[in-house]
Amino acid sequence: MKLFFASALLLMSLCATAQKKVNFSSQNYAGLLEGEHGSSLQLQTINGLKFSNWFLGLGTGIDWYYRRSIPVFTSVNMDFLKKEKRSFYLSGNVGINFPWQMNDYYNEWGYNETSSYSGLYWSAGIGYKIGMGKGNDALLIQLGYDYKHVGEKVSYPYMVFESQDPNHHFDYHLRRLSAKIGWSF
Amino acid sequence: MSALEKNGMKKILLAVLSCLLFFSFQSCLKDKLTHSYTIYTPIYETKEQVALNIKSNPAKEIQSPGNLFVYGNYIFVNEMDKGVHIIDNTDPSNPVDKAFIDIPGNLDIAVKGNILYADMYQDLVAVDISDPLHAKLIKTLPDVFAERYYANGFVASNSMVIVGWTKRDTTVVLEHSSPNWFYPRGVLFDAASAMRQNAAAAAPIPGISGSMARFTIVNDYLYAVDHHSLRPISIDNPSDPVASNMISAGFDIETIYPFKNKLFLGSMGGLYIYDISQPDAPVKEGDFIHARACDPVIADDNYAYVTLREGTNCGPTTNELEVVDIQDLHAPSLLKSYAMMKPQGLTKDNNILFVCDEGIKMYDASDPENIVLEKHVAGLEARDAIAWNKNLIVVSSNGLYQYDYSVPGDLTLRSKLSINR
Repeated sequence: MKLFFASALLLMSLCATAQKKVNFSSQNYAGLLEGEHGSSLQLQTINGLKFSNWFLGLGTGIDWYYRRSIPVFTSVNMDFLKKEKRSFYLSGNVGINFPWQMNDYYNEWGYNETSSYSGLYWSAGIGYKIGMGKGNDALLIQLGYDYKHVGEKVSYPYMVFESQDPNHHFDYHLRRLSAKIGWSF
Repeated sequence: MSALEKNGMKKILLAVLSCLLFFSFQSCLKDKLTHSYTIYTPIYETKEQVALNIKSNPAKEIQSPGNLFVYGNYIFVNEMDKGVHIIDNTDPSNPVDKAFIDIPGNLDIAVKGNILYADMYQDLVAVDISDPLHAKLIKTLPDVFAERYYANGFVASNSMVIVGWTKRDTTVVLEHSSPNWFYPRGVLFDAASAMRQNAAAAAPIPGISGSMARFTIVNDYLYAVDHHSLRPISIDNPSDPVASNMISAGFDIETIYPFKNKLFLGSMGGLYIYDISQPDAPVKEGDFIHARACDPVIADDNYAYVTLREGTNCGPTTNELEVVDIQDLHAPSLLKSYAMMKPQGLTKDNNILFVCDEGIKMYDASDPENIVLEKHVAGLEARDAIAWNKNLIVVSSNGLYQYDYSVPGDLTLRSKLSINR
């Protein structure tokens, strides 16, 4: 959490001190997540500033893996092995993973009340960028590791006796490999 | 194929192989699912040790109030699974918590004469309260009520009594896939077969129970319900209760309410009416089936008033107050429904109806087909109420409230006995 806000602060500072060589850039990905619970789709958009070999942005998206969620994160990219309009890049994201459904609901039995809570999100990967056309448009291909945490609190409000624990917490620590393809401009 | 094309094909092949190699590592990744909860371990005492403590002990703070019973100038409040608070209500504006009777496993209470009847898990205990500050156990009737069920096959000892629980927080790693939570793993889960309470009638001093009661007293019989059965217990000799045969009364029974020579049993599926002309052998006279819901019930000569509440273990249904015409007890019929928020207990004094519904609501029920809301006191999680002699007693999660309703259409707070959770 602290890292997320520190990164956001850094990004705002960069915006405030932006010079000519600092440009706005947007990265937009569609990807596949593979983990113990199978394959799922993810969509992400990351928008921020590009300067020299670095990119710093704020991102969000939808992650359908096991428990659908919305990660909100800061993102850092560093280009290396640049050759003309192509380069490899390292990418790192860290932020908060918000559950898709926050509200209480009853399970199929109509017996429990469940509320979800947010957790950590982070990912790291290596990508290949292929510049297209004359501008800054580029095709992005990235492979990486992706972690998200979501939690659920299940309550049994009718458990009123001392012998019963009315609150149970289920924490999902989900680890996936990701393959993303995207477009930046 | 040109050299350029060959080069391109190689790159594509390399990319595909890289992806395949990359995803082959997927099997190395394991998701981790953890379940955090509190483990409860029972603390036992022998029945002899427990019996020694069933007496008036110093007053304790009310923490988890259950059912309540009004008898003369006293209010008896059940402390769930622990015992009974005795509150001197001689001055409703200044109720005094006088004593606490330790009765482990207690959920329901009823009083007749100088005897307080209470459940202690499966047993019925009779306590002499002629001097409430020096109450003493006079009889234990064993195995009267249904056994409690716990999760994970936990079975409580028959020879010992659970007097408390030790708590320990724990986190376990779940094996793959989604947990099945209906019976959480490793947790003592009381399926709540128990829950009983009472009401009373025809006593020299008025004895009144709430609408959530699972005990009730009519003349010389105490009637108790559990999920499926109705048990008459003779208290002709108050200090020597004698249990009659249990009667299979229906499903998911929650409450019992007496009116004249009838018993009204509220269940999650409907309302059952029993005739008790022969007190030790109640006979079902009629029923009224409704959507699955929690439904405390009260009744008068012509109408039964039922609140239906959705959620938790009550099932998904509408929240409403139903007025049921019971003039023909063999064929009760719905007269009218009124929308509610999340109603619980209710009580009625002549034409004034009170419903615990996101606070306490006061209605003019002189015309059951046109019940009119007169006052709504919000800000308390009212569970049940008893209206008697222009004094409304409300038990809520944060206090025991008393209101004066002598002025038509108005409720004036007399006192609040705080509850410390």
